Order: sequence, then structure tokens, then C-alpha cells
Amino acid sequence: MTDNEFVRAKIFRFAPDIDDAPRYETFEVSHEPNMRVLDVLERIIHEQGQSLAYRWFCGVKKCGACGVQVNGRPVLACWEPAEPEMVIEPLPNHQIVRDLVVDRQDFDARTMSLDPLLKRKEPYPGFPEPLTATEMAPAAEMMDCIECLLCTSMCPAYGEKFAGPAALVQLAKTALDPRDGGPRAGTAYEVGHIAECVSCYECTQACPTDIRVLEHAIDGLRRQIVAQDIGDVAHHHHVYRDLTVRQGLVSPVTLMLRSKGWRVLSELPHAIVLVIRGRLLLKGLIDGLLNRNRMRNVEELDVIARALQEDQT
Amino acid sequence: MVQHVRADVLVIGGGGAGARAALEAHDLGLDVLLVVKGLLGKSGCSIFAGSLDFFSSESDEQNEEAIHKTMEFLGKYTHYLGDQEYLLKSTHFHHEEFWAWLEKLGLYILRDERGAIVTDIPHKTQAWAPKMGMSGATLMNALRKEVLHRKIRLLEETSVTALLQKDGRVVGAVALDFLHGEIYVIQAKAVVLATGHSNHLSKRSTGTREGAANGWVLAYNAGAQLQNIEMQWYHVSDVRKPDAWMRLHLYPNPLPGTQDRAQLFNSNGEMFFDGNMYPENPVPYITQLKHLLRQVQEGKARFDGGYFTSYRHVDPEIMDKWLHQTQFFHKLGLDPARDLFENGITWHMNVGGVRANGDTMETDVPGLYAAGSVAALITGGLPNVVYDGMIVARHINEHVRSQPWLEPDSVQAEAEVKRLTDLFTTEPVNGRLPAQVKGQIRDVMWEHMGFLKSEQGMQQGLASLQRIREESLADMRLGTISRRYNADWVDAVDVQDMLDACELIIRFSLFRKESRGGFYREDYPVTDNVNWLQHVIGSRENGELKLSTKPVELLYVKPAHEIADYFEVDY
Repeated sequence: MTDNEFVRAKIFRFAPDIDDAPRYETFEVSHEPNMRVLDVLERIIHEQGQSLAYRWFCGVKKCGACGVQVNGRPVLACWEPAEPEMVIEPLPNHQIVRDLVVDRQDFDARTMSLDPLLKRKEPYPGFPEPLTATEMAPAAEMMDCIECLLCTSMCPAYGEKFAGPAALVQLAKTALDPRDGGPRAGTAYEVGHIAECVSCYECTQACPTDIRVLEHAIDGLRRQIVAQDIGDVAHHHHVYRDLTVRQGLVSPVTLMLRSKGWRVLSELPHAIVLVIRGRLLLKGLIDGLLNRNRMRNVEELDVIARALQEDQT
Repeated sequence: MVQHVRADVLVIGGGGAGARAALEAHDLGLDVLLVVKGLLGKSGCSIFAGSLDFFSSESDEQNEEAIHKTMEFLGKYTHYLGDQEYLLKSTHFHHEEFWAWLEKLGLYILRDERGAIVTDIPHKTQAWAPKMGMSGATLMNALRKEVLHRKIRLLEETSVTALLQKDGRVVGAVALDFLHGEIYVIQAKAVVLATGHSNHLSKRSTGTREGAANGWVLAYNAGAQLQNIEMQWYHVSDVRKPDAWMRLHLYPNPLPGTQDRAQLFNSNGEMFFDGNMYPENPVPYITQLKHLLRQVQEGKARFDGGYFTSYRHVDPEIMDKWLHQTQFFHKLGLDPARDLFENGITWHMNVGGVRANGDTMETDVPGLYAAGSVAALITGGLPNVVYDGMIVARHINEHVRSQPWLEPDSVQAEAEVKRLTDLFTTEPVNGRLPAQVKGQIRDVMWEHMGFLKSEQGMQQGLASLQRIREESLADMRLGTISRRYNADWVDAVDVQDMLDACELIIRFSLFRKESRGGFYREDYPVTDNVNWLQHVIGSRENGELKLSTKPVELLYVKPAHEIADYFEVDY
């Protein structure tokens, strides 16, 4: 990297109130050792007089405001090194305000609908309250969250219902706190629609503060839901497992059908486009709908699965 | 385009003081509007409070002794320019209420496996919530949620550009919402300035992106007195490069679970500072600065580099477990057990600010209050700023609730709306962006108004600022007329405020003819407690700055020497 004299950044530009359509503009700035993505953006403004909208405050991984997508990967601009060739775009899954700035108010609303303030089981006993590092470790991990929204930007299940990983981390902060007595599992299930999570690990991979978002936050909440027998949090997983056992392979069509039920109809326009483009074969669609995809030696798999099941019980 | 709103209390600023004032006022039943230039709890100064001064007292007697020690410490911390009556009250709050308040909010004060609070050893001067470097950010995260939970009216990414008055009383403000491109005319019975430190005025500073000394200028223009704004406080051990990381502070404070502190090395590889050279002082910032000045004078360091922080002597487990900073070493491929991090100084806190009454947070202008680091009572500190927020809300609740609604002067409001509207232009097309002019101002301040000052340098600084006023303001233009997140627009307002604030700082600095704390003049290198243990006070009279002095009331602690060698005293 130090050999490169220039950094070339191709940047997403769009002001929805005055532009007809988004566009990309390419800028070159001189490179210096250890330069961050944020330094590149700053230089474009200060050296080249280009007005570019991006949000940042602290530059040192505290404010969580500078999330952008660089070459298809969500990053904190203050944290990641500049690359010689960069495509810089706003975080996906969020409404674009202008250029690289995305709306955060939706996150606030979803977070607050989960009521993520500590609700003590017992009245506060005065400082210092009895508490150990071991007891607090799971919640303390969640306290590393800077609400940068990188996780949610990568979440395939994030939509109208599912609160998304960033908001659920805020809920987990209380749910995993030994001092807390709030109805966290019920909230995660009913308000956060945690069952929509497909456990793809994108959130964990995106997190710049190394929170195990899926394993510790989301699964932490799921464990409480299971323990309190509140609902089926593993719907997607069960469908997946049942398909595997029954057919030996997972047909995406059948998976969608089983997982989404009648709501799969909302995917129909998308399916038609895929068929027209040749990405989805009609035969495959019909086979999937009729559940006809089967692996040849599926019986063998069935034996293994049963053995595993017996082993578990 | 212009929205009119009304609130009992307008709180300006979304750090610890503003958030606490808004929460307290709301809980007392007042109708609050909170206006934040960045995002509540994510911008501003409070997120930079990485460590918390800790006290553990088991008896009232011990507490009294600890409070006395704290007062001794705060005397030095404020270079004896703090308001001692206020210091005693905020210290009582800090010792007796602050920690319980934090825990009640759900914060986790770092414990060990057995449940004991982790502090430095053996002096027990610091604690963390829950990580060194992140205490303020964690607190602000919690306060943001408290404000949202109560549905307190909140305008974010909105900058207050002028205070509105009626017969001398502050009765509202004009604000620019640059997220949505809207202008607000706000009417309020009380206005609380909680805009924090005014440090983002120089090229290297710890101020967050939006900082521009608006609070000082708003108060000054409304007729309030400013006090000791020449007393800039520096960070010595902040990271030099990359630029984005200049706000990364490598603490000289004792580290969790040990007596060890960061050490400083000069360009010859010689250690010139270790916090433990001053074992009684857990936050030896000023002494660190004095030692660096010696190194610079001897050509062994520069203010913008050529010296280094070392954690090589610290147990790597402590570094990895408890420090926000450690990951930054690793990110650059550095190993704290082996490698050094190059440093440069930054403008950090202000000792001075808007002159305020420490019992009520009132300024000299009726209806206008100053809480937190924007006020001149003390050099910041999370416990103090949240104390201020609490006090100001209680005072307003008792004394301002019954105040009748006064209409702001319509001529003044219209003129301010017109000023903002006039700035909203992309002409001249080849002009400079406001952000570029801000950069010019910061360069001037770095060059002529650094830690090492002289009459001549400061006069050059004034002349350079005047040139920017004459040349750059005329061809300043916005980059876009989009009304969505138009940071250029608010930057254009900031340019005016920054020019005003920087000129004020230089004039205050020319007035103080001594050296004290973070304030060093080559031409007056002595700490002069005979003639200059004085507040420098400035206010606007007939459009001109009028400067005067006022003796400091030394009620509880005082310096040991009358006139002292700057390098010989530890404050």
C-alpha cells in the first residue's frame, strides 16, 4: 500500500431532493501511510472543495456514526485503512439521506420499541452494588456496542418486522444483565420478531467491536425464549433440518415456501423476473413446489439424523 | 420553511450536561426542547471522558479527608482559576451521589472476579465504566436512551445560530436543522447553553467534527461575560497519525489494576515523562505538557510529532482486557509490548468559558444559563457536568416556571433567518467551501496560537484571521443546494462563529501577561500569583470587546508560591 501514490475513490452521490438518480464520482487523493477511509473523505472536501455528505464525529471508534460500505464490505470509515481502489457507498438496508449519510431514526424507533432500559429485579441497594466481573461478562460484551449499524446493514432478514441485530444487541444488554428483571424474552419474540433471524452470521462478521452478535446477543435472547417456553424461535432452522432429513438437499424454492408460508406470494414478482432472466428454471420451481427434489441416498441421511437425535435425547 | 416552536426550557447541547439538564427538567414537569448539533450522546465532548476519578471512603471522616484532597487536586487542575465555592459543591456530589447515579442508570463500574471495583493500585484514584477509554461513551449511550424513552422533544443535527432577546432577556433562539434543511424560531422561558468545550478551533484538537465554539459566541453576542477563555488545556499523548485518530488519547493516568502509566520518549529514545514522577497526581496533564515543552526547546520533540508513548512496561493482559486504545496498536500492526506510538499535542479542554453562577448556572444575561464545560467554573469532568445539568434544571423549575411568555424581538429573529437564508447559495461557483475556510482558520490557530505563544505571534494570528475575514468570506459558497444533510450550510455559520471565537481567544491571551497551566507565553514565562491570580473577563460593550480582571476567591485552597518559575510548579 505504501507504494501507491494515490488513492482512487469512486463514491456514491445522491441528493434525493434535487437529483433524478444516484451516480458515482471518482476522486483521487494523495496517499499517506496508515491513512484511514475517513482521511480520504476529509481530503476530498478540504483539498478538492467537493461537497460530500458523510457522517462522523469522533474518528476513534466511539461514536459509531461513520459507517459506510467500502468495496461491498460495511466498515467504520475511521477504523479501516484506505485501499488503493475504493468504491464507497452508503450502508445498505437503510434509507439514504444524502450521499453516504443514512437515516438512523428508524433504528432509534425500533430500539426504543424494545424498551432497552435496565429494569431492576431488586431495588437498587446503593453504591457499590454487589456484582462480579463474571456475572457481568455477557452484558459487558454488549456494552461494547457503539450502534454503528454495520450489522443491520448486512442482515438479510432485516425488514418490516425483524428489529435487526443492532436493536437486539441493545435488548440483549439488559437481558444478559444479572440485575435485570424485565420481560426481555417476550419482547424479543413479540416486538423484535427474533424468529425471523436466519442465523447467517453476517452480523457477527460485520461487527467492528467484535461482539458475537449472533452467538451471544441473538442466541442469548433465544435461549431465554426457549427456557421460558415463549415461542418457536427456531422455525427457519426446523424447516431447514426437516428438508435436509426428508430430501437430502435443500431446494431454495421449498425452503422459501416452508419458511414463509403464504407470505411467499410476495416473492412472486421476484421469482418471475428470475425465471425470465433464466436464473430460475421452471422445472426447478415446479419440482420445488411439489417437493420433488430428493437426493438419491437420502435414506442413509435419515439414519444418521435419527442416530443424532437419539444421541441428543 | 421556518418553523415556530415553544418550550419551557430550551437546552442546547447533547453531552452530559445537556442530557442531564433535559432529563431533570422533564422529570420536574417542565416542557423541554433539546437541540443537538450532532447526535445526542454521540457527538460533543462527553464521549471522550475515558476514565472517572474515583474515591472510596468508608466513614464520614474519611470522606471529609478525601474531599479536602480532591479540592487540593482541583485547585491545581484549574490552575487556581476554578470557582472554589462551586468546586466544593460539585465535589460533594461527585463523592456522595455520582456513583450511585451511574449505577442506577445501569452502568457497570468495572469489577474484578470477586466483585471489588477495579482501580489503579495502590492509590485507587480511577475507575471505569466499564473500559478505560469508553466510560463517557457508555454513559452517553445510556443517557441517549433515557431521553428517547421519555420522548423528550429532540432536534438533532440542528445548530443554534443565534439567541433571541426581549428587553435584554434571552427568550428563545434560531436554529438550523441541516438534516432536513429547515429553520426553527424557538421561544423559551429559559435557555441552557450546554455546548461543551470550544476546542475544535485548531488543526489538532480532540473536538468532534461539529465543534466550532458556537456556545461562547452565542453567549458573547447576547451580552454575557466570557472568562479565562485564553486558558487552553492540552493533551500531550494523543496519536499523531493517521489524522482520523488524533483524538485517540494514550492516558498518562494509572492503568486498571496496576500502578503503571504510559511513558513518553523523545526522538533520541530517552524517556522524559512517566506519570509516576507525580504519584500524587492521577491526571498529570499539565506536568506532562511542561516536560514536553522542555523537550521541544531542546530540539528533542515537536508539538506535532517526534515523541512517543510507550506501554512496553505494562502487563499485556491489562492492555488487552481493559483498554479501548490497545486495538489501535494492533490495527496498525504495532505490539504495545514492543512498539511505540507517535504523538502530537491537541487542544483538549478549556479552563474558562461563559461566566456563570455556580449555585444556579445563571449567566449575567437573564434567561440564559451555562451548564457543563461551556461554563467557566471548572475544567470539565463528567461528574461536574452532570452536576451542572441537575442544578440548572432545578433552578429553572423553581424560578422560571412562572415566568410569562415573552415574544422574541421580531426584527432580530427575521434578521437571523435572513442571514441563514443568504448563506444558502452555491455562488460564486469557484469559491471555497465553508469547510475549507474552517481549515484555514484552524491552520492559523495552530501556527500562531499554539501552546508556545508570544505577543508577536499572536498579533500575526489576528492579522491572518482578519485576512480570512476579508478574502475568504467573500467567496465562500455551499457545494450544494440540497436541503438534506447540508453540512456546508451549518459550516458557513460556523466560519463566522469560529472567526469571532478565535479573535476573542487571542485578545484574551494578549491580555494575560504571565504563564500558568496550559497557558505559556515566551515573553512572560513566569507564573505570577501576585498580579495574575485573576480572572480575565471580557464582554461586548457597544460592539467592542472590553477586557478586565477580577480577583479569584481562594476560599479553600491556594498556591504555595507568589511568583514561581513556570517549570517549578505542578499546576
